[in-house]
Parts: sequence; structure tokens; C-alpha cells
Amino acid sequence: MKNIAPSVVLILICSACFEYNPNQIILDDDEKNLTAKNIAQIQKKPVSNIIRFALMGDTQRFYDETKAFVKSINQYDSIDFVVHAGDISDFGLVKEFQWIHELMSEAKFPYLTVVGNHDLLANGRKVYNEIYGKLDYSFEYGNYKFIMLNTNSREYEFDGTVPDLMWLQNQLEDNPDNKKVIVISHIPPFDGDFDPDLEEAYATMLSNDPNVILSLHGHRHSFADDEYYDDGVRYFVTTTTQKAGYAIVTLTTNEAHIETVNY
Amino acid sequence: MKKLTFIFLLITCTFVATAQDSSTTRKSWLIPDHVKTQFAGNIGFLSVGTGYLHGKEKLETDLYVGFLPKSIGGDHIVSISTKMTYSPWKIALNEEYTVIPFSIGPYLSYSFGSQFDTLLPNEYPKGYYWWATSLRFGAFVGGRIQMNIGEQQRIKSFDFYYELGTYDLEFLSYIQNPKTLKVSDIFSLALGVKLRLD
Repeated sequence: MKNIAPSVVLILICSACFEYNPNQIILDDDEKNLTAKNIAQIQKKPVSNIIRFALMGDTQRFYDETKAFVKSINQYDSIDFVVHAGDISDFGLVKEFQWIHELMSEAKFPYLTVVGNHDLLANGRKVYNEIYGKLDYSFEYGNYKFIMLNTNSREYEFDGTVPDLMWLQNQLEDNPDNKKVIVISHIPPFDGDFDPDLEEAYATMLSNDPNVILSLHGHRHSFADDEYYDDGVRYFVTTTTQKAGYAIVTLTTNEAHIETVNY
Repeated sequence: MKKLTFIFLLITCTFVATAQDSSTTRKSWLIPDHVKTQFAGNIGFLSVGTGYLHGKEKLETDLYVGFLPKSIGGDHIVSISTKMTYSPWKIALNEEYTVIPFSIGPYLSYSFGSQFDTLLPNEYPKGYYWWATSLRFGAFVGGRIQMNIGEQQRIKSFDFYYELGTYDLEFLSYIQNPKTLKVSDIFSLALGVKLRLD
């Protein structure tokens, strides 16, 4: 019987040592609903004349590199928030999301995410919903409206529902103060993983709204910066965290400046 | 062919049934040597399994069915797993207790669910994702203590085992991130009971 006592103690001190399935979704309260919590934290801060945020992404299985990113971003004093451009995880496992969240929590600034194609694998969709929240959402800060969109069309078999352009149109129309609009999503419209039937509609929707100034993305693992459709909308793609790079987006009342950083 | 399979199954069943009925004859090799119940270990919240002892009584090959209820795991997942356990040493403490200090083995676990794929669906170019979300390959080390009841009993012994296991995707993550991930991040504990049957 003396052999049973240690194992009982082990069970009591070690409930976190048990895992039931790689696809389980067991979370602490402080790992849930992070989008809403972090938006509240961002908006609590008084808006200055200049808004500045970092755009990074594709941290999938690159934890050492994510740690290096946090170290780099913490050298700044005046960043309002960090945007993760998607592919938080590689395999859609809750564990990966937790590891990234733990690392990103070490940053001095709150972070927001858009969902990437890898984040939708296995139980990833449910995991993202629980940890962060909705796949499409928007928020306002200062003179800007940020629209965060799920553009991972291939994960929905190009069925025409993703990106949800109806929702995007409603978001663009619901802008009574004519705030400048920045649309952020994982896959850029000119990528093969974006629904080809929706590419033109997306680009037209953005260019038809004079408030839209930027369309920001990740996914391609290298920087790209172009007025891709020659229609007044600037498309910028950030690189992967693996390549030790990110972008700093600085917003004045009407204009955006983007600077790439390699660390 | 179907008929043949049916006849084969019928004969097999009869054979198993007769074997179970008579305690005097040697039991059929088809009857499992043991049943197991496991808690955790990434094959279910609770799993039940059965299998055979072979390889000079040092190898066990088992098939488990695992259940994870939504109330505990955030999602309801059923899985089947096949596991091999190699236990090279046995230390008899006394007539009642035997310690099997070290076991090691691989496992393959399949999770049921429409969100899990075994083959890459058609909408992806070849090699777009290189792993199957439904199948996890893992390995473990462990040990156990055996409580002997008696060779003539219906249940010959109870074994209480523990295992520390990891699986492909988390192990890969670990070896690629030596600065950030710790061994404790990728190993988890499983506890189980084995009933050795007559």
C-alpha cells in the first residue's frame, strides 16, 4: 500500500500533468475571450495624435523566434498594440495557442489577432473562438476603424462564404464618423489561398470606400508593399516571425507610415 | 468471398465460445490475455483496452477505445489507439508483489470527428499540410507494480501503471525550440490498471 501514497500526492499536485487528447480544449479563465479583453485594454488608453502598432505574424511552431520578437518589441516605449496577422499555431492545437499566448503576454503591449489558415485545422476553429473570440470583428481607436477579417478561403473549400464580404460591406457602411479604415486579414486577396471568385469584389469594395487606406496581411512569409490594384488602396504583407521581422505602422490623423524592422 | 468470411467468423466464434466454457483445456490464443483501463495519456479521458502478452512475456500489444466528454475536455472526442509496451525486467518483491520498473513503447491514436482528416482533402495542393490531423503517433516510458492474486484465479493479477508520454507534433515543437520549451511542456502523465485474465 505504501506505493499508492506517492501517486495520490502526485495526482493532487499535478492535475495539469494530465492530457486527454491533443485536441482537447481546456483553458484557464485568463486564456479566454482575449480579443474583447485586449480591445478594452487598448481603448482604455487615451488616444494621442499618433497611433502606432506592430504588425507581426506566422508564429507557427517558432517559439524561440517569438520570444526574440517580444524582446525586440519591448524596446519600444510608445506602441499602442501589436497585431498578430494569423497562423498563431501550426497544427491548430490548444497547446500551441497557449504557448504563443504565454510568450505574447510578456510584451508590454496588448495584442490582437486575425485567424490564419493553420489556426483553423483540427479543433483550431473552436480553440480560436474560445481563446480569442469571433473570426470577424472590428474596433475603433482614435480616428481609425480596424476591421479584422477571416480570409482563409481554402479552409472552407472556396465555398464563397469566406471572406464574408457581406459582413465587410456592413462594417464599411457602419462608419458614421468617417473614420479611416484599416482592414487586416491573414491571406491577401492576390494569394492563391484567397477565394479567386471573391478577389475582385474584395478589392473593389475597399477602393470604393474613400475611408479605406490600408489592407494588411501575413501568410506569405516575406514582406510585400504595393498598391496592388492601382486603386488607391495600399496592400502590405508582413513577414514571418521565423525570419525575425515585423512592421511598425504609424498613423497620423489621415496618413499611414509603415516601417519594416529586422532584429 | 463474403460467405467464406462469414464461415470463418462463425468457426472462430464457436471456437472462442468453447474455449471459454472449458477451463480444463488450454485457452484459445484469440482470447485476450488482459484488459486495461487508462486515465489520460492523450488517448482519452478514460480508455478501455485489451490485448495480448507475447515476445517472451515482455511485449504487450493493446487496442484501446478512449472517451473524452465535452464537460471535461471542451469537446466530445472518441478515439481508438493501438499501443505496444516493452517491459524488459521484472523484480519479484515477494509472493504478492512484483515491480516492473521500466516500460517503453509507441502508440498510434486515431480521433474520430469531421474536423479531423487522415488524407489531405481535395481542395489542397499536394503536400500543403504534411501531417494527418486525425492520427497522432506517440511514445512513452513508464513503470508498474503488479499485485498477484494467483494463477488459478479468474483474475490473475492487478497491475497499476504510470506512463509519461509525448506525441509527434509536440515533440517536434520541442526539439525546434530548445530556448523556450521545456521537457515538462511536452510530457504528460497517464495512470492505468491492468487485469491479467485467466
